[in-house]
Amino acid sequence: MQALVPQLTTLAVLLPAIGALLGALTFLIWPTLKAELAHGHDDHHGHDDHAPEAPTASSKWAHYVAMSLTTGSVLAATVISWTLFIGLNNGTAEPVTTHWFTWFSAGPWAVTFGTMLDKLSATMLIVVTSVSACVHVYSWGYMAEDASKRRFFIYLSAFTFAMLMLVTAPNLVQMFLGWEGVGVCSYLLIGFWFHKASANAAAIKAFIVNRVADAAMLVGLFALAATFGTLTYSEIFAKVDAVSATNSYAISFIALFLFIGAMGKSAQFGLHTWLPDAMEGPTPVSALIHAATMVTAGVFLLCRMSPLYEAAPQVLHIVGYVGAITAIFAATVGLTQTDIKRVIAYSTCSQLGYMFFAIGVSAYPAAMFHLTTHAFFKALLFLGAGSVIHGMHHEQNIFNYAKSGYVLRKVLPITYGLMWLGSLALAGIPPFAGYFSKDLVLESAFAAPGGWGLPLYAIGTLAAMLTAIYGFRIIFMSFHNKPKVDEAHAKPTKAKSKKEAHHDDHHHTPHESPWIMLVPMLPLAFGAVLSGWLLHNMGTLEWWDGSIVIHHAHSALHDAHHIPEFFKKLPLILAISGITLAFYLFAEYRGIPKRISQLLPIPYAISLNKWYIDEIYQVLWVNPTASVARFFAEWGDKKGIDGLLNGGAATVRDFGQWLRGAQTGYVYHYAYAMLLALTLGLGYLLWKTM
Amino acid sequence: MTHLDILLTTPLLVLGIGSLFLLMLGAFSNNARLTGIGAAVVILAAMVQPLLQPVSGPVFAIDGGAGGHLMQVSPFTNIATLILLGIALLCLPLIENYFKAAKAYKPEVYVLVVLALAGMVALITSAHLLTLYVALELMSFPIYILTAFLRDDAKSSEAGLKYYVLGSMASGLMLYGISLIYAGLGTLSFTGVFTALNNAAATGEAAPMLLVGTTLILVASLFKLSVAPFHMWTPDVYEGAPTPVTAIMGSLPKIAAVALLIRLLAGPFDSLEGYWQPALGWLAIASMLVGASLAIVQTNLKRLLAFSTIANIGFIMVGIVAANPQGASGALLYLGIYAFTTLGLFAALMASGAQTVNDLKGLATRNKGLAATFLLLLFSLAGIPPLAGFMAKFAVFTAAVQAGLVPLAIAGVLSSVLALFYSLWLIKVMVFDTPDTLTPTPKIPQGLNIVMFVSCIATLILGIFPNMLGNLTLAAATAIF
Repeated sequence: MQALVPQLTTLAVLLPAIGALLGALTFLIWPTLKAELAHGHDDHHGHDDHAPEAPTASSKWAHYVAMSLTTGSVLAATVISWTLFIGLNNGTAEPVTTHWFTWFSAGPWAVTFGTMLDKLSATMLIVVTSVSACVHVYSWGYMAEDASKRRFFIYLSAFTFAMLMLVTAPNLVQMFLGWEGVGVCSYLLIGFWFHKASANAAAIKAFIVNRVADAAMLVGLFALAATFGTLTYSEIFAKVDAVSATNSYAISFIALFLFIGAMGKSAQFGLHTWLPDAMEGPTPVSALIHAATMVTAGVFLLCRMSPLYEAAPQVLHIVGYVGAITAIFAATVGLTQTDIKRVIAYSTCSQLGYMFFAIGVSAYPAAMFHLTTHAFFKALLFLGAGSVIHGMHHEQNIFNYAKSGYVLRKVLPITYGLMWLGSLALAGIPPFAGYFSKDLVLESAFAAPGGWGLPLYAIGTLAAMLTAIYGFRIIFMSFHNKPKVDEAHAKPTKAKSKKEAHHDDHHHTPHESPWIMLVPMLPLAFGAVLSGWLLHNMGTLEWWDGSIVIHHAHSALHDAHHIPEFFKKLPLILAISGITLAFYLFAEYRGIPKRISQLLPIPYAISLNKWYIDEIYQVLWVNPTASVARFFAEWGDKKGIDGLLNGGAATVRDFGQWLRGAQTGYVYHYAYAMLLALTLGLGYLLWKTM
Repeated sequence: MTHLDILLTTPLLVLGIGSLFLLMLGAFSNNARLTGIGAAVVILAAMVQPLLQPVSGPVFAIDGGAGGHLMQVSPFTNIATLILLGIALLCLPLIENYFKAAKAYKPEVYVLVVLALAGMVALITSAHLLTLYVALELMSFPIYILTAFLRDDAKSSEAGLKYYVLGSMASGLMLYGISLIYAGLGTLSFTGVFTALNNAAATGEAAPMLLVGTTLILVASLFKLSVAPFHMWTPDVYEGAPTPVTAIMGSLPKIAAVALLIRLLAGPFDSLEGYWQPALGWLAIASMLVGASLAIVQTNLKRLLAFSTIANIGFIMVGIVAANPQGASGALLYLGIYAFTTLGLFAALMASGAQTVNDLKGLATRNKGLAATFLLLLFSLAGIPPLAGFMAKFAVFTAAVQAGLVPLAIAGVLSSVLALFYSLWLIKVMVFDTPDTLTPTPKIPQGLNIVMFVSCIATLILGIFPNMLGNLTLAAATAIF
């Protein structure tokens, strides 16, 4: 078994790519159907039983072949990943590396491809493949009536491959390729329904915001290459001490710019604006990319680079504060959003903030632990939300669920139960997964040496209460309306929904999701309930077998268990009070929130408008950039560069025309030219020998 | 010379004897296609020996008695021979369809190709100025004939005659140069000339007579390579020759001539580096500029490709001028990549049936696959990563920088911008211009499809894994420096 580890790692990484490629090959056998281009991109149409282009038998085959290939390959990768993960627990401290091939080499540089398996990448492997497998299976149901679902599955598998390459890469070049790969796939998936203008805009926004961060990241990578002369992890880590002794400024610079890159992917405050908009993509995408995998890439990268960050304590402070600000910012925004997916998106943003401030106090294991548990319960929440949206015919506003006249907890009992599990885990109630990891994060912040983490602890604890409130706001608002609506009252709403392009009676009735969607939520629910307890060793440095390095002076994680009992319990107390509060505000006395918003108009407006970040960016960046761009387009490009280039091109053309005059077609002219050149050459020799 | 050593010359022997065999086969069967298959078999058989020990084989000189060595087999000649014969295999499928349409599909076409190949292999392995001369003529004459093969076609005959007259003049210059060298040194073998020139350089100034002789020999090689200003024949001959012959002319002799030039400059004329390096550097720049800027004003596609050849030979010259193993390796790599890219382009050209640039208008709407092939190959030729052409340019420019010839590398990079112009222009015409006619292109013959397919695949694979060929050429080049 141990001998097979390198091959198995390679296989796990490549399987999704093979699945995606084979799936794409179905387009050769069954080319794109008209239906795939024309209709069915809008999910309102997607569920129409009487779609104008009814799929033909062979097109059904095309979809099922592609879907089976992609899903099968990811399932196989999941099995392999778990085998590897469990095998590793029996203790190999050295990373197992494989060398695929050398891409190119120039001088001392060699860019190689391969894999590296240690505790860190093995953990990411199981997280990515497990969630991806669940999402693949879930999508069989969720995307069942989409006319281009095979495209969706191919993107999903391609994404999984890029993500696996990101986490198993032995060097930063390959990591960066994976990093950009997930970016591209995320773009494709957010804009999957490309006939929707908002989806297009969201896809472009996600891509551009990430480009900004990636630009900083590239600067960091170049600086890293220039300082260390290598981009291979093991070689970098071996040199950190030597470099930091002579040039600690460079290390801080590199760490800071890599962090900015990570902020973009992980939607940290300032570069988070793309994440809520990304909810335009199909819900399974949100569960896979915007909850469990891609957005955690930044956290993973910082943990992977822990030896470097340990040598840059100032940067760690910045990381910590950015994380804390994100945690509280996103939590406050989450309180007032009405779109069920957006609330969860802000929740993700906030939880990622927790991970970063854990890194800020050097508690990398806590961050990775929270990453793992969060992946399970957040994916579960997203899939649950998807199930609600599916059952409610694409209604995403939690206030409208009550208006539908149905009591959702009775209509969607299984989804309801699963959402409870996910929300309890999110709120950090024992014994659910979030409790273990979130408490460890907060305790580590409290125990940070010199007490600099106390503000982080305070912010985090407050955010934990808000988390409980907004988390259960979803549950109580969506599922707990009182069935006070009588038949007479219900009719107008029914009539209203009729306008929304639902054609037959079946579509008026909210319905529980099919088994193909519910079953894949079960493993996630299992993770949301038990992963915290099962994997609690992840919270210790020893468990990571050297894949994470912590400077001995940064003792936050070590001291986390010795903080006063009261501060250990405080987050839990606040979370329980939050849930209780949410119950009264959003289930029992629904008038109160409205009164609060009227009493506190300004905080309410700030929260509702997401702290006006988008508007500020519009004024601060977008408008000036657009004007500058327009100026350069008009004056710099059209008149300046184009003029110069057209002039240059004309010159070359004229030169060519002039030379062409020599091309007479007469042999004696050509012979003359040869002899002339020869004579000139001999003259040159004569001059040279004189 | 033992019976085992003669095995090392098997490529030449196989090609030489094979051509006679093919001649008989053609004469008695009068079946051109059968002869073509026979030619492929002969070429494959010729590849066996160098394939067995491509870079591990010995450096072996074949003794010519008192006159010194006549031929030399080394890893470098092995790799060059392999590239040459591999590309030659790719040339064969281009022939049938065109000549059939011209009602001139005769077995002799293949016989002449194999005969020319024998000359090229001899040229690559020659280690004696007389061997070199004979090999050069053996390479040239079949190509003159091939150029004029369509006897009833005025253009073809004209092109053949032009090529023959100018080529003979170049041969005359070379022979004169050889005689001057012999007069000055009393030897004609590469090793003899190398030692004698080294001694002359050590004792003082090299005699002007030797310099003139060297210059004349180099000029003749540069003529075959169509380096500016010895390029004038190229567009006329390219335009007039039957298109498959143009494709052959644009790839095979160039490989042989570049290999020879590298060996001449690294071997006998090594000590004269101070003289030829600046001169050839200027010629490289001139070729790149003339080729790229004249390509822009062409309307005939074959002429355009002729100027593209001239420009690309300029880039190859950058690698040769660098005069280090990296440069020679880069030149070989460039040559291999350039050769199959050009063949693919010629195949695409024949498939599209286009004569002038205007005929390509809106090809993308008429035949997507063909337009995509053009696009890929033109992008590669222009040096856009991650295609093979980029890696080729990267290799020669790196070598020039390593040799300290930074201005030359800069000139090369600037010229590649010019070279980009005509590639992009063709793509623009194909993709954005409205076609004059909407008739789809005729069905593409299988032979052309094979060439285009191989060419595209090789472009993609060598673009991502250039070391597959690069390691071989580097090992080959290291053996001769």
